[in-house]
Amino acid sequence: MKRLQGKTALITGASSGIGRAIAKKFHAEGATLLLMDITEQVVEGGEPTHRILDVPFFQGDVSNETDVEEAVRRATEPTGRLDIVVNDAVVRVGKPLTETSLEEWNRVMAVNVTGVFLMCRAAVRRMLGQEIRNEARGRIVNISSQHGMIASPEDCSYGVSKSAVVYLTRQIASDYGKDSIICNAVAPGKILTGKGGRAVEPRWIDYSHERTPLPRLGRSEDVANAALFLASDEATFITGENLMVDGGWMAR
Amino acid sequence: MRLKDKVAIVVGAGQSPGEGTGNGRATALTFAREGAKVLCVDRDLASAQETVKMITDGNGFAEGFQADVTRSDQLKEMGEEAQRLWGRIDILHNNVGVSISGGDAELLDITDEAFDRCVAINLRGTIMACKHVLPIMRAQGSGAIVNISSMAAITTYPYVAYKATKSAMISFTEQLAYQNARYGIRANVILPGLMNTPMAVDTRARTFNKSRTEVEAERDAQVPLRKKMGTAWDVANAALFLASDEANFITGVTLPVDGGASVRRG
Ligand SMILES: NC(=O)c1ccc[n+]([C@@H]2O[C@H](COP(=O)([O-])OP(=O)(O)OC[C@H]3O[C@@H](n4cnc5c(N)ncnc54)[C@H](O)[C@@H]3O)[C@@H](O)[C@H]2O)c1
Ligand SMILES: NC(=O)c1ccc[n+]([C@@H]2O[C@H](COP(=O)([O-])OP(=O)(O)OC[C@H]3O[C@@H](n4cnc5c(N)ncnc54)[C@H](O)[C@@H]3O)[C@@H](O)[C@H]2O)c1
Repeated sequence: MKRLQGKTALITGASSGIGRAIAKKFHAEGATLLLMDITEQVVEGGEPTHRILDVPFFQGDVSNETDVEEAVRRATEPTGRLDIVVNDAVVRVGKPLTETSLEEWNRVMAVNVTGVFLMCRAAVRRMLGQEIRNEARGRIVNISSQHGMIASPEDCSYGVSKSAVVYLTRQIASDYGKDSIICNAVAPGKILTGKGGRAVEPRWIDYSHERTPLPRLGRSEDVANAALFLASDEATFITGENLMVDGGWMAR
Repeated sequence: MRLKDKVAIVVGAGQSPGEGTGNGRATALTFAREGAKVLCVDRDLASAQETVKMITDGNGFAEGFQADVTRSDQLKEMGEEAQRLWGRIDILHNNVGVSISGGDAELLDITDEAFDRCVAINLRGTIMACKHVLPIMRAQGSGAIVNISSMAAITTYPYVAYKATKSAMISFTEQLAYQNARYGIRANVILPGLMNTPMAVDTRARTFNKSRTEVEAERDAQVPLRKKMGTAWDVANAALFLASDEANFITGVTLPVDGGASVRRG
């Protein structure tokens, strides 16, 4: 049997990179999907995710309350349930404190923190009204980062936003555990998603290799595997955790 | 099958007397169900053989092996036995751990003997099992080690030796991870929380002269997630994930399987 058979999942940031890999993985494991992203364009190039998978897509902004409510409503339509939400959408500024403008700071917080808050709130409200199945009323998987647990070099707003995601995860797990709502995070280390720009500048690649004990850097699929584990019935006694997928980055 | 063609050693694959399934047995059964050949190692060979029988009855592959983890020579033979049988070792799962049954106690009551015994079983046993299996994994250029610590390492726990040894296992696993990553070997540690296993529940019922139901109710009440202890299968599923190729980029990680209990610390 497929590991997400019979489950309905909403994935944000599903057009590109890690979110796209999660969408593919969940699809292969039998989940009913709604993908949400601000654009259908694939950062690393290729056919839009929803086209490849032939699943519904909702174009929306996770920092917009109305869009988030609408996404949850649409995700729930086909089956009457929302079993899994993955918060993956992200923006980055890539600047140190002194060069970060207030607008840039606010946008990072709006997408990376408020977006996760809005989606978790909408999802938990929805989940509280549905029956427990296989010991869970619903599950949330937030994509955090090793940055925010340790310094994110020269990317101040991003690091701060990601540490907030880890805390929010613990807060939800602890407040809604009694209701059988499971909430965990996955913290990727350096993942080569195929995108260019700052992510693959030699100095950041060298730095990442130097920090990563395993001989290779990560792939989007590594993160998708962890998200699958936490979204599946195999993980029914794990909640509030931040599972690192970082090649050992945080162990040293 | 997620562990197809893999060879696994589960140390502590038998279980304490009592009702239901223990962590070690559930893990051995899960690994076998996913296609691994499992060497079921225990000081109590009869208990390990029960696990083997359950696996082979389900058409899986397993063999039993007697070893006391306080005996380095026996751990060395354990590694050699797995290699002799199946030619390689992909997974080492260190499940052995004692607290009350090892004589653990609060600080003012602990004896040198009980403390040394717990250290030898919980900490030295894990470390020496790794010592003897690592050369084989390094030669292969691959391997996954899963150590079983406990939520006790990061939350409140009354007895001194268990707390100290289980905490040390976390640091040891991190060192194991970063020192062996270049050989393609991963090492991670699971912290089970309050689980409904014979080791935890029946041992306490016997020691404190309570009924099983009483002990269950006390422990259930302490778990944030649905006010219910976990089961050995929760630990086994986490071990399966960490041992499998799905976790190929995960090393040096501490994974609590505790129903959110440790999230509440502080
Ligand atoms: N790639 C890495 O090395 C790495 C490391 C650590 C953590 N992460 C985390 O993994 C997740 C995905 O990272 P990635 O590298 O795949 O990113 P990415 O930039 O490739 O993809 C992010 C996606 O989010 C979408 N998005 C942006 N703003 C949005 C909005 N307001 N509403 C809806 N969607 C929006 C984008 O369109 C894009 O499709 C992020 O949470 C990121 O913080 C990535
Ligand atoms: N059950 C829980 O609530 C709980 C909670 C946290 C952590 N844990 C950890 O889980 C692990 C054990 O779980 P379990 O349910 O399988 O326990 P268990 O006691 O049922 O099984 C452990 C096995 O280890 C064997 N053993 C003991 N000493 C040995 C030695 N010196 N050499 C070789 N084998 C030896 C025993 O014979 C037994 O078969 C321990 O590490 C324990 O600390 C359990």
